Amino acid sequence: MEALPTGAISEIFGCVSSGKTLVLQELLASASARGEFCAVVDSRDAFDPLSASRAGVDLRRLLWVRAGHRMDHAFKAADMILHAGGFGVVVLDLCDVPLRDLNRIPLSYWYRFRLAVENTPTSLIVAGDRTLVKSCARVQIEVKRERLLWRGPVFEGIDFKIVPRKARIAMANQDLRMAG
Amino acid sequence: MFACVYAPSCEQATLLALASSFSPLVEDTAPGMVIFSIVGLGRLIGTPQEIAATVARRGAEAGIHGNLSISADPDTAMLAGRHFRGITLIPPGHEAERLGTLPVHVLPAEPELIETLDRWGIRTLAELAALPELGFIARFGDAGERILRLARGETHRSLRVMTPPESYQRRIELEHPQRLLEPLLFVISSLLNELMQGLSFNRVTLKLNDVPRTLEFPVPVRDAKVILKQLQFDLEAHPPQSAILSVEVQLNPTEARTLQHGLFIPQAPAPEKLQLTLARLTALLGEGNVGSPELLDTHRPDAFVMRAFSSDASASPTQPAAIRFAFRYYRPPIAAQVRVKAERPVSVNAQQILTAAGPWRASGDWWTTAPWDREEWDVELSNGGLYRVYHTAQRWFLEGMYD
Repeated sequence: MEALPTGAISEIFGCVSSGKTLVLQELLASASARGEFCAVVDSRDAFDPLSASRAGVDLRRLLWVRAGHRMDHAFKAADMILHAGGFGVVVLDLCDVPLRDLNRIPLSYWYRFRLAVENTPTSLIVAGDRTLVKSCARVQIEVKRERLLWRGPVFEGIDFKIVPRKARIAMANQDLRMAG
Repeated sequence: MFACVYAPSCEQATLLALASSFSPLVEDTAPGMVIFSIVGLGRLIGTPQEIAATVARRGAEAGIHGNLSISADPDTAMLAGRHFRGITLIPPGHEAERLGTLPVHVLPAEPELIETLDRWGIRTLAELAALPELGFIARFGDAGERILRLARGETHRSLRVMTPPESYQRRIELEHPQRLLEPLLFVISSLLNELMQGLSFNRVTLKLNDVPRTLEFPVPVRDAKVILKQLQFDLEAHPPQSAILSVEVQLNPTEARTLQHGLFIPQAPAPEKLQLTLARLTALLGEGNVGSPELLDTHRPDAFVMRAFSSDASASPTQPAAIRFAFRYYRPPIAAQVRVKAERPVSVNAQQILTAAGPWRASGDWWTTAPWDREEWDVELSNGGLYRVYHTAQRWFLEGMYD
């Protein structure tokens, strides 16, 4: 999978078992392959280092921030990391967060994040079960599960497709490509 | 004027302490011998005789028993101190006369030269000093000139002043016990600013009421604000148990870090900023929740440890496996109500299972005090999700979701 735009917020969302976590891990693996440092702000403490490693993520260059089911901590942590700078990809994982907590996120947070990443070489990726970032995201991608792959009694994987919901075509000198 | 104290049986540190109590210009000449300048002591103590008496008295109080000599030439003072017992005062201009009785073999010279002098019948420094200078130097060169100057008391060299070891440590006793963090940080900040002065340090030890706490930094730090912030986070996380009466800061100096940036090297977090950010994150989220995961070599699921994250970590690229799913854990695992029929799960938490794969039995650590064994199932529920449940110790748990 190719890189998402830098200096902007990209949003990846999908239903349960849609494959969005695999998409996130492949993005992190691409960043690792480019030699970049990555950060994962894990609001639900759900990150699996083993599957990330199998996807090709360099764990030694990955900062994992476990917010312990505290949304406010997750946002504060993401803010600190964005302002520290130096990371190629920062993932704010909001999957499985209860709807009542998601509805409490002020829109101003996203504007703040957008300002923080603007004109930096960092990609901020917000992952969730539904769209959250709205107009502050330059790219919105929905991951749709086509089917679960079973080989007899063994689960082999998820067949999914990536549907761009919003993708502003970037100027010639910016990097924006998606593949499904 | 210079004073030489020669006490071969005394500790060198004691001699240096005695000399340092009179003058900052002290030479650590040899084991059992120190030479120091007594210029300026005339106003404080008096005549050279009085100075000598004071030095001797203070030396006796310190348990130093040896010889003391005073001369305008340090090497003359050295020779006199080494070879004349008691207190010797050599007025300026009388060095050669006073040293004249000493034998030539006390001079620091090659044995061959001393032997030559002996064959010539030159046995005392007075006889040596009387030799014609040009001819002697032409015959023996630099070595000859040196011993001739020594015999005449004309070396007039400078002291090789001993520099005390640098101590990056400051202590302050507070007038009133301090209970608040802000004023305490103000005091610590003043000590840090005094100590750092553009140098780099990789460790700070803060003693509050003589109770130490040490912080180490993965990269050298030159900014006092960075160290102060780290100390603030540490004090907030581990506050002192009583009001503070004394504050001591000790820094460990190190070489500054030099970096060569490249045009095509991917960006990395700036070390100083990263340190501060990691400290802030740890203060916010707690120890063990910020770092890089390291997988453990075990079959036990979800086995990893958190290591300190560093921007110096070298790339260790991994070859991606041909996989088409990722996993999301529920930490801690969620207790599940699983209905089983014909030894197969049919529902989880009242949700019907559409497809179930398993059981996959796993166990391990049976040789330890914490063995584990479980029976895992991959189940597709009616909500469309694919989950992993496992059965252990007569209970079912929902471990996570494939995504």
